[in-house]
Amino acid sequence: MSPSKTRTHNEDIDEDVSSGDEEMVLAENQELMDTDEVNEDSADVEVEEAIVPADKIEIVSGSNSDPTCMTFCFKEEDHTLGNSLRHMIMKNPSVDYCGYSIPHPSEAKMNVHIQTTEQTNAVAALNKGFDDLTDLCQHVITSFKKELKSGNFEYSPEGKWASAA
Amino acid sequence: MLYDSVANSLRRVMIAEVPTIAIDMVEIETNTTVLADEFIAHRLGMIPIESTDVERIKYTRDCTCSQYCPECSVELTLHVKCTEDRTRDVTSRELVSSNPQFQPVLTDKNDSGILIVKLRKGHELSLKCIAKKGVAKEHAKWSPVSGVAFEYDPYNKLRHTHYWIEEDEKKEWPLSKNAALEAPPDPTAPFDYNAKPDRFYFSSETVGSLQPEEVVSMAMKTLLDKLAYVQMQLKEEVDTKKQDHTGWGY
Repeated sequence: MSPSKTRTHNEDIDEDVSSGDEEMVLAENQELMDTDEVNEDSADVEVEEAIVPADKIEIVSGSNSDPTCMTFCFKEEDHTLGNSLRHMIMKNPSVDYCGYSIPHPSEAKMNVHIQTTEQTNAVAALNKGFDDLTDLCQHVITSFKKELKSGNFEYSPEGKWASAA
Repeated sequence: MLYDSVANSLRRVMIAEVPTIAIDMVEIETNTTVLADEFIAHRLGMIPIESTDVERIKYTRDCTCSQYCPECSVELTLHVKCTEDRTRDVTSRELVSSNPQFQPVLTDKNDSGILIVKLRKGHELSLKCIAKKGVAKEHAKWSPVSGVAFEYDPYNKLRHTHYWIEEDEKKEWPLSKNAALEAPPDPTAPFDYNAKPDRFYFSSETVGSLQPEEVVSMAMKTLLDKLAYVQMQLKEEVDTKKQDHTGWGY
């Protein structure tokens, strides 16, 4: 019998990562299929472009004139970044409004819209949002590691969920 | 104080963005078993592989090699032939790893492993697997967790939930175990509309490739890396925009 190569995940029936996340998984696969097609019928230089997104972030055109009101388009990001970033930016008192959306489930794009007061501008507010979120994550990591080091924990008994009633 | 949005991000990263090692390509040399090649390849993909040291393995896309190499993959081989008259079970124990740090998961010495296929006399299975680093965003087989339960405010003090009831809320909606970790609400106290959730209860079960505490710290690290990367990209985009529009306001 001649050796046959099989990529396991092409044959797979996609399992739900979790409810509500399937769309994201689908979108990812869509992306993969697109890049695969490019791989097959174009030169090496173009393959490079297909794999590496040209712009991770794009300032959506039309919003250049007013620095206090801007929309940013994040490629290959989803609710994981979107919702927490939106929340952190909204905590900033000099921000009037911040919202995010994923316009289409099969396009791996996430838009964040920021409107600020005159004291600052949207880019600065977005940067502050990133800084605040980074600080928060850093704090969670350090306090989690500290607590873990104290050894004051136990694994829940096998097959029993700690939160189950 | 942790926010609900960030806690949910943590949950999402734990499920879909923590990297692990899983079998991604299978080269089948001999398969005279009752199962088709693809069927076995799929089963192999699902086997959890000890991934505590994933940091040492590169993503194949970041690697300098042309297809795969020891720096971005682990090779596992399997060769079993049934010569006896009784059924021969082929389990994940039979997979021989090229790298001792990345072995199929076993709970203890007596663990019989995960059943891949059963052989009758004369059946033979011989194959080579390439395990790669990946995240569950691409395929669920890379997910380190089988479940993450996430809860806050077990007494519903914040009234974020409205319970559907037939007669009695207390009878029909028993409290979760996490309620024992919080003070019960005072029924006479007025509703505190300024209160925000500040305690989040995570309960997680892993598939075995990582320990639950490792999943949490790796998830937070993944989230931080993502933030740093996106912020850097933002700086780049703003800089190029500034060059394009020299008269920009700031």
